[in-house]
Amino acid sequence: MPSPSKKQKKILCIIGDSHLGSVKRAVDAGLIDLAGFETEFWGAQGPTFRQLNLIENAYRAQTDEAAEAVLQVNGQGRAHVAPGDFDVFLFYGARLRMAEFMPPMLQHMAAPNGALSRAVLTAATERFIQGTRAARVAMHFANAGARVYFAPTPLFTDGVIDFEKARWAVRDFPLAWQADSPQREPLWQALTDAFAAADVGFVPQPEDTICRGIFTKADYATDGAADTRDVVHKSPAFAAVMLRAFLAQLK
Amino acid sequence: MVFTLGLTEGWENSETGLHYALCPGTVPGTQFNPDVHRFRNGDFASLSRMMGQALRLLRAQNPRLRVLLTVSPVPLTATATPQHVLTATSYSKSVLQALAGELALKYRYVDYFPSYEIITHPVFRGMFFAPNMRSVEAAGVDTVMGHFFADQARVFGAVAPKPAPRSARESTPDVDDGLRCEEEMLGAFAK
Repeated sequence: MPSPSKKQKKILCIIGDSHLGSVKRAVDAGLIDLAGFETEFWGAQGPTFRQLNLIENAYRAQTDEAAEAVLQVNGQGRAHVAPGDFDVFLFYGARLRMAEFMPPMLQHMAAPNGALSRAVLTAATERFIQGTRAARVAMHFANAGARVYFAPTPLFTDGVIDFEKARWAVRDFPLAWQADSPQREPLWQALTDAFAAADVGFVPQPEDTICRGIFTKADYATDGAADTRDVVHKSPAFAAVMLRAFLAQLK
Repeated sequence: MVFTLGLTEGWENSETGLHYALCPGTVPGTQFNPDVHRFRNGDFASLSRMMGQALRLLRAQNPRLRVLLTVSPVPLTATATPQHVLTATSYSKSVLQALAGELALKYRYVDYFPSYEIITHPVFRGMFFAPNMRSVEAAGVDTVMGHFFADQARVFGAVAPKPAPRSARESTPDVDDGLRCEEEMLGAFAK
């Protein structure tokens, strides 16, 4: 399907994986005011999200399964998204997992004799970002002239994580647990700088949503998380916090 | 493998010949025994022989191994020799510099990176050292690593992004649980 014409052009497109669900719920519940925007959602849940790719200058589904998922999420028949289709793009979640980046970096930084030079931090950050396809797509969109922002997948949820199954969190990153805002700041800044170099605005997870060094506060757990042990997905309230941070950057 | 040569002074067990990482008796749980614990200040010939043996052993295990040698710019705090620590530092660093140079010339898979020179050269007037004039400040580490990565990219090209190691992903919670992801989406976007 061709992209809609300029007359039908929407202002804001939120692209993402299953984390889009919490954003949609936040909007539907009135927790976040996007009244100033015509908004479309575009994406697919976790495993299917990997079947989306940049093809011929547009983000497209590579399989029938992904195409079906995208159409269901979008609800307006938009099979693919190109840089010129919207005024602003927000990539939300989209597999850029802070839970895989923050803990080991904080552990390295806090370790005795573990000085992490700016050059190493920059190289590690760029490698982390470049290893995520959606981030590469976001950078491509920005390079094509689109206004693009990226909000990463948040840290795992405290109070939900099953430490019997996740002994790595204790065993591998004991020092990261002690980290506070000043220790995380260089990492947020490195991510911000790396994205800024590609003209993409980075929306860090707000510090007041973080606890115990490397976790998202239990208040932001998704519904039923205690039963499902879902440490990944977050509540609509959390999505509202992230969207407000994004809107603040837009201003 | 990056191998930083630090100092020539060390302690060994006179009965077994094994070398200690620290002088016995200087860390909790150990006791110094003058009959067994022997000080040794390595000379060029013996260190060259031992490093050659170590490199050949490593290459036998991994024929593709490449080694980058550096010399620590951090001076000695104290010496177990009768020399002044300034003299002892010069001796250690000189021997190790010569050793790194010889190994880089001798073995095609060994190279040398001049982090020592970047930190200590008079042109920088000691600016990379902390007020204690021993520790290296973050700005010095940044300068060294900046040159290191730039040189790596110049010689070998830009590093291609690699996905995180499989083992790391497997050790994290089930982040790719398709069922939970699907529930998140379906609940929000179902018609």
